[in-house]
Amino acid sequence: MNEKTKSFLFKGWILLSTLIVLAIVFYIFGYILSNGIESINMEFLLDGPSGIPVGSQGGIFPAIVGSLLLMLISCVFASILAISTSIYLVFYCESERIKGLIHLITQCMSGVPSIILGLFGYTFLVLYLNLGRSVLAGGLTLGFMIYPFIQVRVEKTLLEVDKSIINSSYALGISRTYTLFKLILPICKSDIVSAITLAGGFAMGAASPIILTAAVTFAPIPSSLSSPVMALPFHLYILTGEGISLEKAYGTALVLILLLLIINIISTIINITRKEHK
Amino acid sequence: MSILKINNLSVSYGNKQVIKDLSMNIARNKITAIIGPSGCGKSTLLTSLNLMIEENGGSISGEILFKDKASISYEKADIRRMIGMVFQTPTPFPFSIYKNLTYAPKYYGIKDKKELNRIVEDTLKEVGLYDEIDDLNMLATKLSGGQQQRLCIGRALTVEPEILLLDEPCSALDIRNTENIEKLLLDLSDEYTIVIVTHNLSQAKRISDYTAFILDGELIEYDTTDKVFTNPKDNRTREYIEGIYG
Amino acid sequence: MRSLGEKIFESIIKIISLFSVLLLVFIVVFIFKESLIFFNRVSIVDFIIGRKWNPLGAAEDLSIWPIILGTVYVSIVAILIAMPIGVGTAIVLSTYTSNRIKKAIRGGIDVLAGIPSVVYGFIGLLVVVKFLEINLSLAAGESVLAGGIVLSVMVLPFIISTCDESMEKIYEKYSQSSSALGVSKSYLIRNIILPESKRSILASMVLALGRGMGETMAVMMVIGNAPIMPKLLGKTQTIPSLITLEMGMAEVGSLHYHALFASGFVLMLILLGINALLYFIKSRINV
Repeated sequence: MNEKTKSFLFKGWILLSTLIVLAIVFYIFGYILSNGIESINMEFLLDGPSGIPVGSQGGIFPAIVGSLLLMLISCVFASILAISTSIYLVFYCESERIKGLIHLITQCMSGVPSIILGLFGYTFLVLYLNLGRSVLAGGLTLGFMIYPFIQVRVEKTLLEVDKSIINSSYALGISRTYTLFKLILPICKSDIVSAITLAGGFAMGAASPIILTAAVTFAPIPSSLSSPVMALPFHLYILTGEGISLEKAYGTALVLILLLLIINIISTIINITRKEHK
Repeated sequence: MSILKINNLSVSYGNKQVIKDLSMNIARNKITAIIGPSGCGKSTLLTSLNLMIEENGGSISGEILFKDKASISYEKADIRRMIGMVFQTPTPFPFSIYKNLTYAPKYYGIKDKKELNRIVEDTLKEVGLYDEIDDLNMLATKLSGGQQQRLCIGRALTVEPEILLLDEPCSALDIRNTENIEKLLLDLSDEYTIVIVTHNLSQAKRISDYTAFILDGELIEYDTTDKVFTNPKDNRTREYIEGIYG
Repeated sequence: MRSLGEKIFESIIKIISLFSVLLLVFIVVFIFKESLIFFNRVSIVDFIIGRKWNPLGAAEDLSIWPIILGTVYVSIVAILIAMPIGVGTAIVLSTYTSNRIKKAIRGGIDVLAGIPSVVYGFIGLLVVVKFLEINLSLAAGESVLAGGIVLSVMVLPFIISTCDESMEKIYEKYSQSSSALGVSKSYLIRNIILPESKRSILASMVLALGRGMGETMAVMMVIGNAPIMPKLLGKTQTIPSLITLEMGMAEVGSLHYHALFASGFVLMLILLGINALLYFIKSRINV
């Protein structure tokens, strides 16, 4: 094969690949949007599911609220743990060996599939600790899942703060804690918030950790942390898996994707305003 | 008259000794310049004086007396408050000018708005920024390099130190800004003791009262600036000043 | 006063960090402990190489060889489909596009990565499975192939971003000296950039393999979930889908229940091996 043919084939290959990827992106959105848009109306968004079997009529309001609740709980839980661990690793831990060990454990954890976490959540939280299928058990399980995601990003952000800026605070005789709260965290705030929102979106879309720990086919808006909930990804799974209503499934998928898109946009806006700030 | 007395100071990072058995006294309300080739340990010496060296993983032996009392017997925070420091590249916090200057006073318990405003105004006047700045809420990082460095000097002054340490404060600045800072330091020396590490020999000559020449972690010569530059006792000092070490 | 506050804060930070780390370790130990009960009755070797999965039968009837094969098979099909497309796209992104187009395409790929797996499963069921049924005239389109196709789309973003990142660096390193020689861009890429990014491409492949084998929802919805020896156009079962589907039904404390933990444990071991491999490859990328 001469150089010209080779170059031609090569270019054909990479061009085709890119077109395929772009086509997939557009196809998925087009597909969900065009099929789902008709199902969406005020009734669908604000009513509970009804009909026989449940879900074939009515709306998905409890699932929207449930998903947001699960996201909130998982974010709060995981952020507290992840931010503390990151602060410890960056500012207090002096032993390289402990740092390495914690990094290793976190990295292994990020490779554990979400269903294994679901399995743990189901057996330990739901059965042993007797939390039952509940918002709390599901939120915590999702929290385990997003913990490594937040931890890695927050630690990176903290490490990126200019060392000489931190030193000039210490040089003023100012303590670590004050420096952390009044200087470092304000500088990192938007990066941290954006990491948490991204993780929240990730948690909201996940079905496998909550199938066993929180989600049910039908429930009203939870009245307490120990109530079971409906959730968008699980609802979508049930609607399709049991063949209840294709039309409602399209609508649910669209709402889920739109919610995630909104979360993504919020996170991007937070990042952009920060860049302008600098 | 000496505010700082350094007796047999040695500093090392791990196994590497950077300062070797160094003794010198720093005179109150004077400008002392520390000169020497790169890597001779002059910045290390400076950061030892306010114990910042410990943040960078160095360890100290020997004695530093601040007002005739060992510096390690003070709280580390107190030493750093009384001995302020300005770094090589300007390090404004990415906040407003106002917040940069109230950051430390707030930490030391000043809550009164009027008092804080007074500190900001006085400090800006002291470092000559008062007339150059219209908006105190402007981000400090948007100031020019020279203004940033003066702001950092001002920020160090907000905690009312007695000594000001400067680590090559003009190395990132152009001539005009350097002039500004030099003039500022001369003004400040009425009130503060200033120790400045510099690469720039003519800068040392222009502003300092005393000059110390350091080579490989050892103090080679220490005298009034005039004597060091016109009639050095040690041959190595002469060679350095004549530009042999570069 | 002040230093007391400092100490309290530092202690709180330490306690929470310790708690997080212990929690992570505890999860792994817990899974191990629950599987151990099963391995006390059935040897781990029999469990892995046995051919039959029948939760209602005897202890010897609980083994997961076909399911392990199914898990691996689906991921490998996915990688075979996704690698050429992903690497090709990464080349375009890292060398052929202007900044604005690059940003736009990357944005699109990020969005692809953000789509929940249940949505992929949903589309996979309605589009991919149907397509296979019609075009290959299968009785049921749920198959290894369907799982592989759906999964390939899901791992594409990982492959593209891993390759893109290192190719961009390599391109920056060589582009000037190469264009000074008057060599065409396509020649440069084929002869320098692709060989130089070999390790990153391998890393992206292993990463995708790990992701794929742990994937639950999307795969579960399109593979038919039958614990039989996998064939490309036949139904199959993967470990994550096995756990998801059967855990709710298994009686707590029963052998079936512990066998599900055991299969989760085996999956974790496989993934741990894959991650170690990934770590090894990454540590040798010196770009």
